[in-house]
Amino acid sequence: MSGNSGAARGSEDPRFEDQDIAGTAGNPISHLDGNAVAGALWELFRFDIIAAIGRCRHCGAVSVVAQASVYSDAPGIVVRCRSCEGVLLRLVETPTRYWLDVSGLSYLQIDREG
Amino acid sequence: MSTMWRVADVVSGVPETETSRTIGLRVAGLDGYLAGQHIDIRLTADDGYTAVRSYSVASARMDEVLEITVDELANGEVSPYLVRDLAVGDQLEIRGPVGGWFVWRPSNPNPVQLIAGGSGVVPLMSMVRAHEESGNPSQFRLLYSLKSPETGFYQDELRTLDRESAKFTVDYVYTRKVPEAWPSLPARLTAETLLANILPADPAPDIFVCGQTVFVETVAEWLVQAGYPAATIKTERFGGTGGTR
Repeated sequence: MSGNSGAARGSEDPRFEDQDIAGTAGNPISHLDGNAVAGALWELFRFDIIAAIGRCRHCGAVSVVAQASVYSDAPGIVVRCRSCEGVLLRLVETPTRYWLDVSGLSYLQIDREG
Repeated sequence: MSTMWRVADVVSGVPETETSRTIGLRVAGLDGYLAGQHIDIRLTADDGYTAVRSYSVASARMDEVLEITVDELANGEVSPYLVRDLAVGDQLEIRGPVGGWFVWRPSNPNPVQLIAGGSGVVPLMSMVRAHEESGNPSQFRLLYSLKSPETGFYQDELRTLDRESAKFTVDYVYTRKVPEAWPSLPARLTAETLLANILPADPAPDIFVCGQTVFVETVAEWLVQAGYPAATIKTERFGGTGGTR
């Protein structure tokens, strides 16, 4: 990315250059959202956790998991709160085990019909 | 734990643009899916190395068959294979369709504004098709931001729908090159252009935004600033070389 400030917007904003990375100015680490890990989390939980609503233990923000920030360019998946960037969930898969940390979530509200 | 992966047969492969292809997959036991969902595809090399990517479903309501549209990424690990090499009769390992949040349901009575950046149009096209097939009379409007006319997906179908459907409209923003006789120069999307080409904030439409992360987050911010309620805006981001998509 260029060193352009995040305040610049509009037709000449270089951040709209097509790139194969999802990073933003000032935050070069690419992130996606909870939608991107729907498959991996479905495999583990066997229900659609990204449609669930979760509360961040760090800042108290309540949001659907699909809208959390997801960092998946890593040995595992890291899901962070969109409000405070605190870690909500970490998942690492090995050939024989899942390692799951959900200590950043103080609750999940799950639709029984989901 | 049992696996959620299953085998899909490749039943069709039709070029969409110079760098993309729509691939039909027959999935035994596929029991419907929601417009906006995606599948994961897993490729396994001879040495056991695996790569998993997500691809949005483009089709709506087909028995045991779904379609994805894959755009080839420079230096991609998976997409060049899917666009260039995969052949009808091949098999793929897939998981899903998954994702129950970035979806449109035919029972939804609200008007809908779809906003696509590039290949982000794929899950939105599934919604357009599901909406057209349903008896739902709600208004659908698509704003499609793309580099040039040549990079557009589903152009014949969108043109036909725009002309013939009473409940669907499409608008385009061209960022690098415009079609012949287009009334404006190519320009990247601005808040002004965005707001001039979407349904008004009152009554609030349901809004679905899909594209690369920067596109999605910028558009969502503009929408909120313009008074569209945050709760009505659903977003889906995709990246290029990341762990997904």
